[in-house]
Amino acid sequence: MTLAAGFLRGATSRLLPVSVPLRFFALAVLSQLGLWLTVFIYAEALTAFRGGLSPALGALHILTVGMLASTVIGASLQILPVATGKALPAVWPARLIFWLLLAGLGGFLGGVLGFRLLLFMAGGAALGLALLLFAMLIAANLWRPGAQRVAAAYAGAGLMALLATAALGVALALDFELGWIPSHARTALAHLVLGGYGFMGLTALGFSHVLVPMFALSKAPAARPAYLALAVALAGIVSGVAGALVDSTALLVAAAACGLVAVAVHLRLMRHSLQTGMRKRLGLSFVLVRGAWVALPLSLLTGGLVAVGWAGQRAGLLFGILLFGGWLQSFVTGTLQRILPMLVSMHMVAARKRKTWLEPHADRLLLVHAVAHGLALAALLIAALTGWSGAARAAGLVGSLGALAFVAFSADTAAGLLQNPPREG
Amino acid sequence: MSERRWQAADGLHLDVRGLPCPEPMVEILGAIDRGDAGQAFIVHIDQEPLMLYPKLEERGWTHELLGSAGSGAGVRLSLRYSGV
Repeated sequence: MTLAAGFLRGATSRLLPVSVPLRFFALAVLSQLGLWLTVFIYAEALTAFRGGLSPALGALHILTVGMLASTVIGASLQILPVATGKALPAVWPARLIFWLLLAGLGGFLGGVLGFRLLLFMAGGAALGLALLLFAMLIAANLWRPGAQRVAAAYAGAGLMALLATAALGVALALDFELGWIPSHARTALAHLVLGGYGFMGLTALGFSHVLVPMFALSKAPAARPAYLALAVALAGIVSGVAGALVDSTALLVAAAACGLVAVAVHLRLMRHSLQTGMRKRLGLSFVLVRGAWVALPLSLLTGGLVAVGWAGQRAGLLFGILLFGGWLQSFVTGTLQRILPMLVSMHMVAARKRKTWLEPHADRLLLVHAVAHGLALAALLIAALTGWSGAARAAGLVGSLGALAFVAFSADTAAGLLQNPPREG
Repeated sequence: MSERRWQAADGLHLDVRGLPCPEPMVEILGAIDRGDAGQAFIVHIDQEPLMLYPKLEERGWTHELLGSAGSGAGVRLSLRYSGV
Protein backbone atom coordinates (compact mmCIF):
# COMPACT_ATOMS: atom_id res chain seq x y z
CA MET A 1 0.00 0.00 0.00
CA THR A 2 1.38 3.43 -0.87
CA LEU A 3 1.68 6.19 1.71
CA ALA A 4 -0.99 8.21 -0.09
CA ALA A 5 -3.38 5.27 -0.15
CA GLY A 6 -2.91 4.84 3.59
CA PHE A 7 -3.82 8.43 4.27
CA LEU A 8 -6.71 8.21 1.89
CA ARG A 9 -8.05 5.22 3.78
CA GLY A 10 -7.75 7.19 7.04
CA ALA A 11 -9.60 10.17 5.66
CA THR A 12 -12.39 8.23 4.03
CA SER A 13 -12.84 6.03 7.12
CA ARG A 14 -14.61 9.01 8.68
CA LEU A 15 -17.28 8.62 6.03
CA LEU A 16 -19.98 6.20 7.13
CA PRO A 17 -21.19 3.61 4.64
CA VAL A 18 -23.51 5.67 2.50
CA SER A 19 -26.52 3.48 3.26
CA VAL A 20 -26.40 4.61 6.93
CA PRO A 21 -27.04 8.36 6.54
CA LEU A 22 -29.18 7.76 3.45
CA ARG A 23 -31.66 5.58 5.37
CA PHE A 24 -32.21 8.39 7.89
CA PHE A 25 -32.69 10.90 5.07
CA ALA A 26 -35.03 8.51 3.25
CA LEU A 27 -37.11 8.21 6.41
CA ALA A 28 -37.15 12.01 6.68
CA VAL A 29 -38.24 12.52 3.09
CA LEU A 30 -40.96 9.87 3.29
CA SER A 31 -42.11 11.21 6.67
CA GLN A 32 -42.73 14.59 5.06
CA LEU A 33 -45.10 12.85 2.65
CA GLY A 34 -46.65 10.93 5.56
CA LEU A 35 -47.13 14.17 7.46
CA TRP A 36 -49.07 15.91 4.71
CA LEU A 37 -51.14 12.81 3.95
CA THR A 38 -52.06 12.65 7.66
CA VAL A 39 -53.03 16.32 7.55
CA PHE A 40 -55.19 15.61 4.48
CA ILE A 41 -56.91 12.55 5.97
CA TYR A 42 -57.43 13.90 9.50
CA ALA A 43 -58.09 17.57 8.68
CA GLU A 44 -61.09 17.84 11.05
CA ALA A 45 -59.27 16.25 13.99
CA LEU A 46 -56.28 18.52 13.44
CA THR A 47 -58.19 21.79 13.47
CA ALA A 48 -60.05 20.67 16.60
CA PHE A 49 -56.88 19.53 18.42
CA ARG A 50 -56.79 20.41 22.13
CA GLY A 51 -54.33 17.76 23.29
CA GLY A 52 -54.58 14.08 24.15
CA LEU A 53 -54.22 10.92 22.06
CA SER A 54 -55.32 12.12 18.63
CA PRO A 55 -54.22 12.09 14.96
CA ALA A 56 -52.80 15.58 15.53
CA LEU A 57 -50.34 14.09 18.03
CA GLY A 58 -49.45 11.51 15.39
CA ALA A 59 -48.95 14.18 12.70
CA LEU A 60 -46.76 16.22 15.04
CA HIS A 61 -44.50 13.24 15.76
CA ILE A 62 -44.30 12.17 12.11
CA LEU A 63 -42.84 15.65 11.60
CA THR A 64 -40.68 15.92 14.74
CA VAL A 65 -39.38 12.34 14.96
CA GLY A 66 -39.83 10.95 11.46
CA MET A 67 -38.63 14.01 9.57
CA LEU A 68 -36.77 16.43 11.83
CA ALA A 69 -35.03 14.13 14.34
CA SER A 70 -34.23 11.64 11.59
CA THR A 71 -32.54 14.37 9.52
CA VAL A 72 -30.64 15.66 12.56
CA ILE A 73 -29.42 12.12 13.37
CA GLY A 74 -28.43 11.32 9.77
CA ALA A 75 -26.64 14.66 9.36
CA SER A 76 -24.93 14.40 12.77
CA LEU A 77 -23.68 10.87 12.17
CA GLN A 78 -22.23 11.88 8.80
CA ILE A 79 -21.13 15.49 9.20
CA LEU A 80 -19.69 15.50 12.73
CA PRO A 81 -17.06 12.78 12.14
CA VAL A 82 -15.93 14.50 8.94
CA ALA A 83 -15.98 17.96 10.55
CA THR A 84 -14.21 16.91 13.76
CA GLY A 85 -11.87 14.47 12.04
CA LYS A 86 -12.81 11.69 14.45
CA ALA A 87 -14.56 8.57 13.21
CA LEU A 88 -17.48 7.01 15.05
CA PRO A 89 -16.35 4.09 17.25
CA ALA A 90 -18.57 1.66 15.32
CA VAL A 91 -21.23 1.67 12.62
CA TRP A 92 -23.65 -0.89 14.09
CA PRO A 93 -25.06 1.49 16.75
CA ALA A 94 -26.08 3.87 13.95
CA ARG A 95 -27.97 1.06 12.22
CA LEU A 96 -29.55 0.01 15.52
CA ILE A 97 -30.65 3.61 16.15
CA PHE A 98 -32.41 3.65 12.80
CA TRP A 99 -34.32 0.43 13.39
CA LEU A 100 -35.30 1.51 16.92
CA LEU A 101 -36.43 4.85 15.53
CA LEU A 102 -38.44 3.21 12.77
CA ALA A 103 -40.03 0.62 15.06
CA GLY A 104 -40.68 3.26 17.74
CA LEU A 105 -42.29 5.64 15.27
CA GLY A 106 -44.40 2.83 13.82
CA GLY A 107 -45.58 1.75 17.27
CA PHE A 108 -46.21 5.33 18.36
CA LEU A 109 -48.28 6.12 15.26
CA GLY A 110 -50.09 2.81 15.33
CA GLY A 111 -51.00 3.49 18.94
CA VAL A 112 -52.13 7.06 18.30
CA LEU A 113 -54.13 6.41 15.13
CA GLY A 114 -55.56 3.09 16.35
CA PHE A 115 -56.09 4.27 19.96
CA ARG A 116 -54.01 1.32 21.24
CA LEU A 117 -52.34 2.54 24.39
CA LEU A 118 -49.86 -0.30 24.92
CA LEU A 119 -48.55 0.00 21.36
CA PHE A 120 -48.29 3.77 21.81
CA MET A 121 -46.28 3.40 25.04
CA ALA A 122 -44.01 0.70 23.57
CA GLY A 123 -43.38 2.96 20.59
CA GLY A 124 -42.58 5.89 22.86
CA ALA A 125 -40.13 3.75 24.86
CA ALA A 126 -38.38 2.55 21.68
CA LEU A 127 -38.07 6.16 20.48
CA GLY A 128 -36.60 7.15 23.85
CA LEU A 129 -34.06 4.31 23.59
CA ALA A 130 -33.11 5.28 20.02
CA LEU A 131 -32.53 8.90 21.01
CA LEU A 132 -30.54 7.88 24.12
CA LEU A 133 -28.31 5.62 22.02
CA PHE A 134 -27.81 8.43 19.50
CA ALA A 135 -26.85 10.84 22.30
CA MET A 136 -24.29 8.37 23.68
CA LEU A 137 -22.83 7.67 20.23
CA ILE A 138 -22.40 11.30 19.28
CA ALA A 139 -21.33 12.64 22.70
CA ALA A 140 -17.90 10.97 22.49
CA ASN A 141 -17.30 12.66 19.14
CA LEU A 142 -18.04 16.10 20.55
CA TRP A 143 -15.56 15.78 23.42
CA ARG A 144 -12.63 16.16 21.05
CA PRO A 145 -10.77 19.46 21.45
CA GLY A 146 -9.88 21.46 18.36
CA ALA A 147 -11.91 22.37 15.34
CA GLN A 148 -15.67 23.05 15.23
CA ARG A 149 -15.97 24.04 18.87
CA VAL A 150 -18.98 26.29 18.23
CA ALA A 151 -20.97 23.64 16.37
CA ALA A 152 -19.93 21.07 18.97
CA ALA A 153 -21.08 23.33 21.82
CA TYR A 154 -24.48 23.78 20.19
CA ALA A 155 -24.75 20.07 19.43
CA GLY A 156 -23.74 19.22 23.01
CA ALA A 157 -26.42 21.53 24.40
CA GLY A 158 -28.86 20.02 21.90
CA LEU A 159 -27.96 16.53 23.16
CA MET A 160 -28.71 17.50 26.76
CA ALA A 161 -32.06 18.88 25.62
CA LEU A 162 -32.62 15.66 23.68
CA LEU A 163 -32.14 13.53 26.80
CA ALA A 164 -34.64 15.69 28.70
CA THR A 165 -37.05 15.66 25.73
CA ALA A 166 -36.90 11.87 25.48
CA ALA A 167 -37.33 11.42 29.26
CA LEU A 168 -40.37 13.71 29.33
CA GLY A 169 -41.74 12.07 26.19
CA VAL A 170 -41.55 8.57 27.70
CA ALA A 171 -43.07 9.92 30.95
CA LEU A 172 -45.92 11.52 28.95
CA ALA A 173 -46.55 8.30 27.00
CA LEU A 174 -46.73 6.27 30.23
CA ASP A 175 -48.95 8.94 31.81
CA PHE A 176 -51.81 7.95 29.50
CA GLU A 177 -51.95 4.66 31.42
CA LEU A 178 -50.49 5.53 34.83
CA GLY A 179 -51.81 9.07 35.32
CA TRP A 180 -48.74 9.93 37.40
CA ILE A 181 -47.98 13.43 36.05
CA PRO A 182 -49.71 16.31 37.93
CA SER A 183 -50.37 18.29 34.73
CA HIS A 184 -50.11 16.45 31.42
CA ALA A 185 -50.65 19.65 29.39
CA ARG A 186 -47.92 21.64 31.19
CA THR A 187 -45.46 18.73 30.90
CA ALA A 188 -46.33 18.39 27.21
CA LEU A 189 -45.51 22.09 26.72
CA ALA A 190 -42.14 21.59 28.47
CA HIS A 191 -41.52 18.57 26.19
CA LEU A 192 -42.39 20.74 23.16
CA VAL A 193 -40.04 23.57 24.22
CA LEU A 194 -37.19 21.12 24.91
CA GLY A 195 -37.68 19.24 21.66
CA GLY A 196 -38.49 22.14 19.34
CA TYR A 197 -36.17 24.85 20.59
CA GLY A 198 -33.75 22.65 22.55
CA PHE A 199 -32.77 19.50 20.69
CA MET A 200 -33.82 20.39 17.15
CA GLY A 201 -33.49 24.16 17.41
CA LEU A 202 -30.01 24.24 18.96
CA THR A 203 -28.74 21.52 16.63
CA ALA A 204 -30.08 23.45 13.62
CA LEU A 205 -28.43 26.66 14.83
CA GLY A 206 -25.15 24.81 15.51
CA PHE A 207 -25.05 23.09 12.13
CA SER A 208 -25.77 26.47 10.53
CA HIS A 209 -22.32 27.56 11.72
CA VAL A 210 -20.80 24.85 9.51
CA LEU A 211 -23.34 24.46 6.71
CA VAL A 212 -24.15 28.10 5.85
CA PRO A 213 -20.46 29.10 5.43
CA MET A 214 -19.91 25.86 3.53
CA PHE A 215 -22.73 26.58 1.09
CA ALA A 216 -21.86 30.28 0.79
CA LEU A 217 -18.09 29.61 0.81
CA SER A 218 -17.38 32.09 3.57
CA LYS A 219 -15.30 32.06 6.74
CA ALA A 220 -16.79 30.53 9.89
CA PRO A 221 -18.85 33.08 11.88
CA ALA A 222 -17.18 34.78 14.86
CA ALA A 223 -17.10 32.44 17.85
CA ARG A 224 -17.76 34.91 20.69
CA PRO A 225 -21.19 36.13 19.56
CA ALA A 226 -22.06 32.54 18.65
CA TYR A 227 -21.33 31.43 22.24
CA LEU A 228 -23.30 34.45 23.51
CA ALA A 229 -26.30 33.45 21.41
CA LEU A 230 -26.01 29.88 22.73
CA ALA A 231 -25.89 31.06 26.36
CA VAL A 232 -28.94 33.31 25.90
CA ALA A 233 -30.81 30.57 24.02
CA LEU A 234 -30.05 28.10 26.82
CA ALA A 235 -31.30 30.59 29.41
CA GLY A 236 -34.47 30.96 27.33
CA ILE A 237 -34.99 27.19 27.07
CA VAL A 238 -34.47 26.66 30.81
CA SER A 239 -36.85 29.54 31.51
CA GLY A 240 -39.40 28.17 29.05
CA VAL A 241 -39.31 24.67 30.51
CA ALA A 242 -39.57 26.01 34.06
CA GLY A 243 -42.37 28.37 33.01
CA ALA A 244 -44.27 25.51 31.42
CA LEU A 245 -43.85 23.17 34.39
CA VAL A 246 -44.81 25.70 37.11
CA ASP A 247 -47.31 27.56 34.89
CA SER A 248 -45.50 30.91 35.15
CA THR A 249 -46.38 33.58 32.58
CA ALA A 250 -43.36 35.67 33.58
CA LEU A 251 -40.94 32.80 32.94
CA LEU A 252 -42.57 31.98 29.59
CA VAL A 253 -42.35 35.62 28.47
CA ALA A 254 -38.72 35.78 29.63
CA ALA A 255 -38.08 32.61 27.60
CA ALA A 256 -39.55 34.19 24.45
CA ALA A 257 -37.49 37.37 25.03
CA CYS A 258 -34.26 35.39 25.49
CA GLY A 259 -35.08 33.40 22.36
CA LEU A 260 -35.59 36.58 20.33
CA VAL A 261 -32.24 37.99 21.49
CA ALA A 262 -30.43 34.73 20.66
CA VAL A 263 -32.08 34.58 17.24
CA ALA A 264 -31.16 38.21 16.51
CA VAL A 265 -27.48 37.49 17.25
CA HIS A 266 -27.58 34.25 15.24
CA LEU A 267 -29.23 35.83 12.21
CA ARG A 268 -26.73 38.69 12.25
CA LEU A 269 -23.91 36.13 12.08
CA MET A 270 -25.63 34.25 9.27
CA ARG A 271 -26.22 37.45 7.31
CA HIS A 272 -22.51 38.28 7.61
CA SER A 273 -21.62 34.80 6.32
CA LEU A 274 -23.91 35.21 3.31
CA GLN A 275 -22.71 38.75 2.56
CA THR A 276 -19.01 37.81 2.69
CA GLY A 277 -19.36 34.46 0.92
CA MET A 278 -17.71 33.72 -2.41
CA ARG A 279 -20.99 32.32 -3.68
CA LYS A 280 -23.90 34.75 -3.81
CA ARG A 281 -26.55 32.73 -5.64
CA LEU A 282 -27.69 29.99 -3.31
CA GLY A 283 -30.85 28.99 -5.12
CA LEU A 284 -34.15 27.66 -3.87
CA SER A 285 -32.67 26.00 -0.82
CA PHE A 286 -31.93 29.38 0.70
CA VAL A 287 -35.38 30.71 -0.13
CA LEU A 288 -36.61 28.01 2.26
CA VAL A 289 -33.85 28.71 4.78
CA ARG A 290 -34.64 32.44 4.72
CA GLY A 291 -38.33 31.61 5.19
CA ALA A 292 -37.33 29.50 8.19
CA TRP A 293 -35.34 32.42 9.59
CA VAL A 294 -38.50 34.57 9.39
CA ALA A 295 -40.69 31.91 11.02
CA LEU A 296 -38.32 31.31 13.97
CA PRO A 297 -38.67 34.76 15.60
CA LEU A 298 -42.37 34.81 14.65
CA SER A 299 -42.85 31.56 16.57
CA LEU A 300 -41.16 33.07 19.63
CA LEU A 301 -43.25 36.23 19.35
CA THR A 302 -46.44 34.20 19.01
CA GLY A 303 -45.39 31.98 21.94
CA GLY A 304 -44.88 35.06 24.10
CA LEU A 305 -48.29 36.46 23.09
CA VAL A 306 -49.95 33.11 23.82
CA ALA A 307 -48.30 33.08 27.27
CA VAL A 308 -49.75 36.48 28.19
CA GLY A 309 -53.13 35.58 26.70
CA TRP A 310 -53.12 38.27 23.98
CA ALA A 311 -53.21 35.96 20.99
CA GLY A 312 -56.65 34.38 21.13
CA GLN A 313 -57.76 30.81 21.71
CA ARG A 314 -56.44 29.41 18.46
CA ALA A 315 -52.97 30.91 18.68
CA GLY A 316 -51.56 27.78 20.30
CA LEU A 317 -51.91 25.93 16.97
CA LEU A 318 -50.46 28.94 15.16
CA PHE A 319 -47.43 28.81 17.47
CA GLY A 320 -46.93 25.10 16.76
CA ILE A 321 -47.20 25.55 12.99
CA LEU A 322 -44.71 28.44 12.99
CA LEU A 323 -42.24 26.53 15.17
CA PHE A 324 -42.37 23.09 13.57
CA GLY A 325 -43.57 23.83 10.03
CA GLY A 326 -42.33 27.36 9.44
CA TRP A 327 -38.97 27.19 11.17
CA LEU A 328 -37.83 23.57 11.48
CA GLN A 329 -39.47 21.92 8.45
CA SER A 330 -38.50 24.78 6.13
CA PHE A 331 -34.92 24.77 7.44
CA VAL A 332 -34.59 21.00 7.18
CA THR A 333 -35.95 20.78 3.61
CA GLY A 334 -33.81 23.77 2.58
CA THR A 335 -30.61 22.20 3.92
CA LEU A 336 -31.49 18.61 3.02
CA GLN A 337 -31.73 19.50 -0.67
CA ARG A 338 -28.09 20.57 -0.45
CA ILE A 339 -26.85 17.89 1.96
CA LEU A 340 -28.13 15.01 -0.18
CA PRO A 341 -26.16 15.93 -3.34
CA MET A 342 -23.15 16.77 -1.15
CA LEU A 343 -23.33 13.36 0.54
CA VAL A 344 -23.57 11.54 -2.77
CA SER A 345 -20.65 13.59 -4.11
CA MET A 346 -18.46 12.88 -1.09
CA HIS A 347 -18.99 9.14 -1.39
CA MET A 348 -18.41 9.04 -5.11
CA VAL A 349 -15.28 11.19 -4.84
CA ALA A 350 -14.04 9.01 -1.96
CA ALA A 351 -14.62 5.93 -4.07
CA ARG A 352 -12.66 7.62 -6.89
CA LYS A 353 -15.65 7.50 -9.20
CA ARG A 354 -16.30 10.09 -11.87
CA LYS A 355 -16.63 13.75 -10.88
CA THR A 356 -19.95 14.52 -9.30
CA TRP A 357 -22.11 17.46 -8.37
CA LEU A 358 -22.38 19.45 -5.17
CA GLU A 359 -25.36 21.51 -6.20
CA PRO A 360 -28.96 20.38 -6.13
CA HIS A 361 -30.27 19.50 -9.57
CA ALA A 362 -33.78 18.52 -10.72
CA ASP A 363 -34.69 22.21 -10.26
CA ARG A 364 -38.31 21.81 -11.35
CA LEU A 365 -39.00 19.24 -8.65
CA LEU A 366 -37.48 21.51 -6.02
CA LEU A 367 -39.49 24.46 -7.34
CA VAL A 368 -42.70 22.42 -7.07
CA HIS A 369 -41.75 21.44 -3.52
CA ALA A 370 -40.86 24.99 -2.44
CA VAL A 371 -44.08 26.51 -3.82
CA ALA A 372 -46.23 23.69 -2.41
CA HIS A 373 -44.49 23.95 0.97
CA GLY A 374 -45.21 27.68 1.19
CA LEU A 375 -48.83 27.29 0.06
CA ALA A 376 -49.47 24.36 2.39
CA LEU A 377 -48.10 26.22 5.40
CA ALA A 378 -50.18 29.29 4.50
CA ALA A 379 -53.32 27.14 4.25
CA LEU A 380 -52.48 25.45 7.54
CA LEU A 381 -52.08 28.84 9.22
CA ILE A 382 -55.53 29.85 7.88
CA ALA A 383 -56.96 26.58 9.23
CA ALA A 384 -55.37 27.24 12.62
CA LEU A 385 -56.71 30.80 12.79
CA THR A 386 -60.24 30.06 11.55
CA GLY A 387 -60.79 26.44 12.55
CA TRP A 388 -61.85 25.72 8.95
CA SER A 389 -60.96 22.10 8.24
CA GLY A 390 -61.25 22.68 4.47
CA ALA A 391 -58.11 24.82 4.60
CA ALA A 392 -56.31 22.06 6.51
CA ARG A 393 -57.40 19.51 3.90
CA ALA A 394 -56.16 21.78 1.08
CA ALA A 395 -52.86 22.14 3.00
CA GLY A 396 -52.60 18.36 3.18
CA LEU A 397 -53.25 17.95 -0.52
CA VAL A 398 -50.84 20.65 -1.70
CA GLY A 399 -48.24 19.63 0.87
CA SER A 400 -48.45 16.01 -0.31
CA LEU A 401 -47.80 17.09 -3.91
CA GLY A 402 -44.75 19.06 -2.78
CA ALA A 403 -43.54 16.18 -0.63
CA LEU A 404 -43.90 13.82 -3.61
CA ALA A 405 -41.73 16.17 -5.66
CA PHE A 406 -39.12 16.09 -2.87
CA VAL A 407 -39.24 12.28 -2.82
CA ALA A 408 -38.64 12.29 -6.60
CA PHE A 409 -35.73 14.74 -6.21
CA SER A 410 -34.16 12.59 -3.48
CA ALA A 411 -34.57 9.41 -5.51
CA ASP A 412 -33.03 11.13 -8.54
CA THR A 413 -30.05 12.26 -6.45
CA ALA A 414 -29.54 8.83 -4.87
CA ALA A 415 -29.73 7.24 -8.32
CA GLY A 416 -26.21 8.56 -8.89
CA LEU A 417 -25.02 6.12 -6.26
CA LEU A 418 -26.90 3.22 -7.80
CA GLN A 419 -25.22 3.89 -11.14
CA ASN A 420 -21.76 4.07 -9.52
CA PRO A 421 -22.09 2.23 -6.21
CA PRO A 422 -19.28 2.91 -3.71
CA ARG A 423 -18.03 -0.01 -1.64
CA GLU A 424 -19.80 -0.39 1.70
CA GLY A 425 -17.47 -0.54 4.70
CA MET B 1 4.49 35.87 2.68
CA SER B 2 2.36 35.00 5.72
CA GLU B 3 3.04 32.15 8.16
CA ARG B 4 0.47 30.10 6.29
CA ARG B 5 1.95 30.73 2.86
CA TRP B 6 5.57 30.30 1.75
CA GLN B 7 7.63 29.75 -1.36
CA ALA B 8 9.87 26.65 -1.53
CA ALA B 9 11.92 24.95 -4.20
CA ASP B 10 8.91 22.88 -5.25
CA GLY B 11 6.61 25.91 -5.49
CA LEU B 12 4.10 27.84 -3.38
CA HIS B 13 2.85 26.19 -0.18
CA LEU B 14 -0.42 27.01 1.59
CA ASP B 15 -1.03 25.71 5.13
CA VAL B 16 -4.69 25.55 6.13
CA ARG B 17 -4.31 23.09 9.01
CA GLY B 18 -6.18 23.93 12.20
CA LEU B 19 -8.76 26.12 10.50
CA PRO B 20 -12.40 25.31 11.24
CA CYS B 21 -14.55 23.86 8.45
CA PRO B 22 -15.16 25.27 5.80
CA GLU B 23 -12.27 27.75 6.03
CA PRO B 24 -9.65 25.40 4.50
CA MET B 25 -11.81 25.12 1.37
CA VAL B 26 -12.49 28.88 1.36
CA GLU B 27 -8.75 29.69 1.67
CA ILE B 28 -7.79 27.31 -1.14
CA LEU B 29 -10.52 28.45 -3.54
CA GLY B 30 -9.83 32.08 -2.61
CA ALA B 31 -6.14 31.65 -3.52
CA ILE B 32 -7.17 30.17 -6.87
CA ASP B 33 -9.89 32.73 -7.66
CA ARG B 34 -7.70 35.72 -6.73
CA GLY B 35 -4.87 34.37 -8.90
CA ASP B 36 -2.47 34.20 -5.91
CA ALA B 37 -1.81 30.51 -6.51
CA GLY B 38 -0.52 30.85 -10.06
CA GLN B 39 -0.68 27.58 -12.03
CA ALA B 40 0.21 25.15 -9.24
CA PHE B 41 0.68 25.02 -5.47
CA ILE B 42 0.92 22.61 -2.56
CA VAL B 43 -1.66 22.57 0.23
CA HIS B 44 -1.15 21.29 3.80
CA ILE B 45 -4.50 20.28 5.27
CA ASP B 46 -5.78 18.28 8.28
CA GLN B 47 -7.73 15.71 6.29
CA GLU B 48 -8.48 14.89 2.69
CA PRO B 49 -10.95 17.58 1.49
CA LEU B 50 -13.49 15.45 -0.33
CA MET B 51 -15.89 18.36 -0.80
CA LEU B 52 -13.18 20.50 -2.39
CA TYR B 53 -12.51 18.25 -5.39
CA PRO B 54 -15.69 18.99 -7.37
CA LYS B 55 -15.04 22.72 -6.80
CA LEU B 56 -11.51 22.32 -8.17
CA GLU B 57 -12.82 20.48 -11.21
CA GLU B 58 -15.29 23.31 -11.88
CA ARG B 59 -12.31 25.68 -12.03
CA GLY B 60 -10.20 23.41 -14.25
CA TRP B 61 -7.80 22.32 -11.49
CA THR B 62 -6.59 18.78 -10.76
CA HIS B 63 -5.33 17.37 -7.47
CA GLU B 64 -2.80 14.75 -6.40
CA LEU B 65 -2.54 13.34 -2.89
CA LEU B 66 1.11 13.50 -1.80
CA GLY B 67 0.82 11.97 1.67
CA SER B 68 1.87 13.46 5.01
CA ALA B 69 4.78 15.53 6.28
CA GLY B 70 4.79 13.44 9.47
CA SER B 71 2.65 11.86 12.15
CA GLY B 72 -0.41 13.99 12.92
CA ALA B 73 0.71 16.56 10.36
CA GLY B 74 -2.30 16.06 8.09
CA VAL B 75 -2.24 15.56 4.36
CA ARG B 76 -0.39 17.29 1.50
CA LEU B 77 -2.11 17.92 -1.81
CA SER B 78 -0.55 19.08 -5.05
CA LEU B 79 -3.02 21.28 -6.99
CA ARG B 80 -2.43 22.15 -10.62
CA TYR B 81 -4.35 24.17 -13.23
CA SER B 82 -5.13 22.03 -16.25
CA GLY B 83 -7.50 24.36 -18.11
CA VAL B 84 -11.31 24.43 -18.11
